Amino acid sequence: MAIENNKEIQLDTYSVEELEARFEMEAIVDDGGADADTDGSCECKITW
Amino acid sequence: MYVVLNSSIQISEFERPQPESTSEATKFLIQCGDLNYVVSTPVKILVETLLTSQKLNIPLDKSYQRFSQNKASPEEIMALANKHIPSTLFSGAEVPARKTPFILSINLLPERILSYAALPLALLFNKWLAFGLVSVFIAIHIWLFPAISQSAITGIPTGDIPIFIASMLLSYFIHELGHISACRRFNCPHGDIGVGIYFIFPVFFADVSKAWRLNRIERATVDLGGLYFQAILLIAIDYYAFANQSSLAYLLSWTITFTMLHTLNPFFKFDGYWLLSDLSGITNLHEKMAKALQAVKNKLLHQTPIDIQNNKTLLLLIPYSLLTIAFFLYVASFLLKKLIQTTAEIASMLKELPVSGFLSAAEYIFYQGEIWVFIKGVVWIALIFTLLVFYTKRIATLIYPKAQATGK
Repeated sequence: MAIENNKEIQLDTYSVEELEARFEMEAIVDDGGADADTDGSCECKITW
Repeated sequence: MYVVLNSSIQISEFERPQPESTSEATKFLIQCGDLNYVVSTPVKILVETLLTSQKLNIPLDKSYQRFSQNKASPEEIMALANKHIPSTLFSGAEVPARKTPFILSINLLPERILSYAALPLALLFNKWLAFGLVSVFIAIHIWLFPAISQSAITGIPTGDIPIFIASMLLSYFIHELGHISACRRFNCPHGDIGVGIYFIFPVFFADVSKAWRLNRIERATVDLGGLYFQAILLIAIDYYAFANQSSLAYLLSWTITFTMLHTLNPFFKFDGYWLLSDLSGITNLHEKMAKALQAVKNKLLHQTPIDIQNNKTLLLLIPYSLLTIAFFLYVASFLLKKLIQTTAEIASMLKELPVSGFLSAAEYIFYQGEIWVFIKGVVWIALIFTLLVFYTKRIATLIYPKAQATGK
């Protein structure tokens, strides 16, 4: 085919890539800050 | 049969190769509704050819010659179009449901309201103003950090909890507004703000899918827009905390700082993921992990050399993929631990019931206020088990992509 014989196009092949949807997210988390009556130790946790 | 393309297709330049690069070529972005494709120059020429022919009603071969400087028959052009243009771009094509990363989601604020609200806020993205505000934030936050971190230990009175929760929700909303305002700064369309469930996380989200049309630096600005707005919020909170010695404000500052650091995690699709993708120029990072892991597997099992010379993205993709696997394994082990712990708690609760027999036990649980503890435990077990299966499958897919694709 005439198209395939074109040198410039031969160098640059036909490629298609579908991009993922962009959702910028921030998770609802807290640092698990200890309660006042604990020994102060804390653990990361997810809040629901 | 002649292909007719969707007339709402928009074409823009996506990536221009580095001047010294000999192997790369200019890539183009094709947007149509919610769909985004990165295509090579020949595909872009085909799309332009068809769209122009449709719009101006000129023969295909003439239109093709105009864009490619080459000759081809209409049949040849159509054969290529059918082969290389995604069918979702054809007029009247059935567009598949939009792929989102959420298990479920609800839109809270629609695009039309946000576009008005974000317009004045877009001014905050002035380069010098941003530099000044970020510098003030860093200075104040570092100065007050001892007091801020202390607040995590001392806590707040129970009565302050509703204000704390409301303030945190406001902070999440301001974060998402930051992303939307950055889009407005670059005159880029945006979507809604909403809440959803992503993996195990309840999340706030901003739909900025149209931001693919921006250049890398602009996209990175959109990625950082949320953190930037929260940094501005923290200037006010830190000032208030210091002026009033407010333990509530200090705790807010601590917790917002924690969420800001959490969102930089590049392994899940939080801001850190998009930032890494945009700054490195590697799109669909999670999808491309499979290829990188294949290269590592082939190297380890078959001594196949890793072709970094021809695929420089592997330099980033391989360490990223290995770290992601390690992170997923860590989360999976956390879930497994939680599963064992919760199962043991439920078993112990059932064992210690002061009554015997299934019906008596059920009646006791229901009437003695233990029902919620019981339901919570069962839901936790079901949820953790589902997530464990999900993570195991996900890791297996990354290591054995072919088996998954063929359904074996």
